[in-house]
Amino acid sequence: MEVKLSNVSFSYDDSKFFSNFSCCFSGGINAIVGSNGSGKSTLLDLIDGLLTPVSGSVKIGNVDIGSSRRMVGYLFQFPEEQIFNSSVYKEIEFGLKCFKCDDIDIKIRESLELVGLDDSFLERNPYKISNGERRKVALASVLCYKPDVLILDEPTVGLDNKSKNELIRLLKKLKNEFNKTIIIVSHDINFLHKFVDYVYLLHNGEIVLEGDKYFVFSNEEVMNQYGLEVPDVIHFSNLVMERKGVKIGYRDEINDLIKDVYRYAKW
Amino acid sequence: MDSIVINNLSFSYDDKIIFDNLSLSIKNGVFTTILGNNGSGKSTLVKILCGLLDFSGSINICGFELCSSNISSIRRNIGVVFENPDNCLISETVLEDLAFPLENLNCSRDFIYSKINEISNYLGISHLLKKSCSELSGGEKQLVSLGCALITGPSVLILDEALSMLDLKSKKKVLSILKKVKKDYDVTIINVTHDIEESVYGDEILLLNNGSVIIQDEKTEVYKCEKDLKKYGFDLPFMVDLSNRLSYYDLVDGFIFDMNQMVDVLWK
Repeated sequence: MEVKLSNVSFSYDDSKFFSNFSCCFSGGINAIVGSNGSGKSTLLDLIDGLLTPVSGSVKIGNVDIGSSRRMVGYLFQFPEEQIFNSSVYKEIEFGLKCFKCDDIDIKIRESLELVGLDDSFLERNPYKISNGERRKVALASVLCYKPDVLILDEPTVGLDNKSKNELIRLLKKLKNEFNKTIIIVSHDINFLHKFVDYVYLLHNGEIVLEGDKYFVFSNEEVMNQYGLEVPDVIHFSNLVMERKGVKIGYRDEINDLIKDVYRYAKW
Repeated sequence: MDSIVINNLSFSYDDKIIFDNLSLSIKNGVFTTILGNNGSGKSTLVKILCGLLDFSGSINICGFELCSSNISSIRRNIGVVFENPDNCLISETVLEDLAFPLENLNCSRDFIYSKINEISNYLGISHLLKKSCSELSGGEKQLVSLGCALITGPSVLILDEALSMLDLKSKKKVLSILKKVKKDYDVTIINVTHDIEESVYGDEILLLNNGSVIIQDEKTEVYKCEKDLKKYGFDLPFMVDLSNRLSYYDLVDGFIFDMNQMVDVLWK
């Protein structure tokens, strides 16, 4: 499902934040990176229709966001901001009732299973479970009504390594099996590098660099210029080139990096 | 003397047992990383140490037994930095936030200003004093929070997932500063986190799981227990993992934490 912003302008008070901003997310897993104040969260709010542009349009498929709220699911940075019921069951049920869905009980249990929680959580108070579990409940309450587009704002905050890996598996499943378009804002570059397809580097409401993840994340000079570091596996490859003039490949994981190092360092 | 001694700590939320006769100690002047997954009890332990939750058992902090009659003395000895700085920074300016802890202790105006001067210069945030906290980046806010925690001269500094919202660059900056703080201010540092990468900056690691201590040792010894770490869902830190795997091929010897040094060793 395509998400398209065309000539969007938006202001907070009198200062223009986005001015004639255009971009298009054409499926897959897309990451928006940038330093604080670059406009990442504002961009997500515009995509979800929480903020209305002064001019321009935001369309999901060919439908204006105002008429397509059900097509977008948004996971907030702090789950406490979107959780307000006294039980996990009621929390997930809320969205399904709002959108007048059928088979509510089945959908609640399916979405809970999808995020890796079992039925024992259904009657628990969302504020008496761990941060990571609470985040999963928030995600379940968004996935239950099966949006075509999933937006995640800093989803790894409060997540341990095991939960991050579970999230990566889930997002890949949502892309591959359910064909969802995923847009994710995160400062956790190492996490993003493991699974995203396309990256947008944002600064002061403008896209300064975009491309597949190797293209953007290997561009250490530009990333540093805008206050960001590159993934450790990429930084290592760049350092080898810079210090020793040896070109080893850009890899996703340390396993593949080891093979390159062994080949080039030993010989 | 150990900074913190916990004996037979038990605590539950409603009917869910978090700690069942937990005992542990944290050495004085050591930078300890308390590592644990979600639900391990890390944050509950921090709240108990701050005197925010009732418990059974005994806890001794800097020589004081943790109980209601000693709570003021204990809180003077502990500085805490929490995960979300927006929940802790409440004043209109950074200067006022830094002054707040000392105002609560009825310190004189001259003393307060001299401490603000000292701490803000040390942390490199003196240029932010007149700014509103809402204008600051995440990393800057956590440095201000760290300043608020340090300004009263605590013996123990606890960070509860305090770096989880920071980007990589800010995280490394704050961790480097913490290493320096430990030495310059003779403070026991406890960094509670689920990010094993942060442990590289500390001295010891304590691995917590389901309210129990699994391992507690110097970090290099803990890193050798790769299978145990994996069992509890932890990969090794990047440079430790790289060192381990390259050691297998006799390309490096032991752990190398610095990437520049690693490259120089590999391509002599």
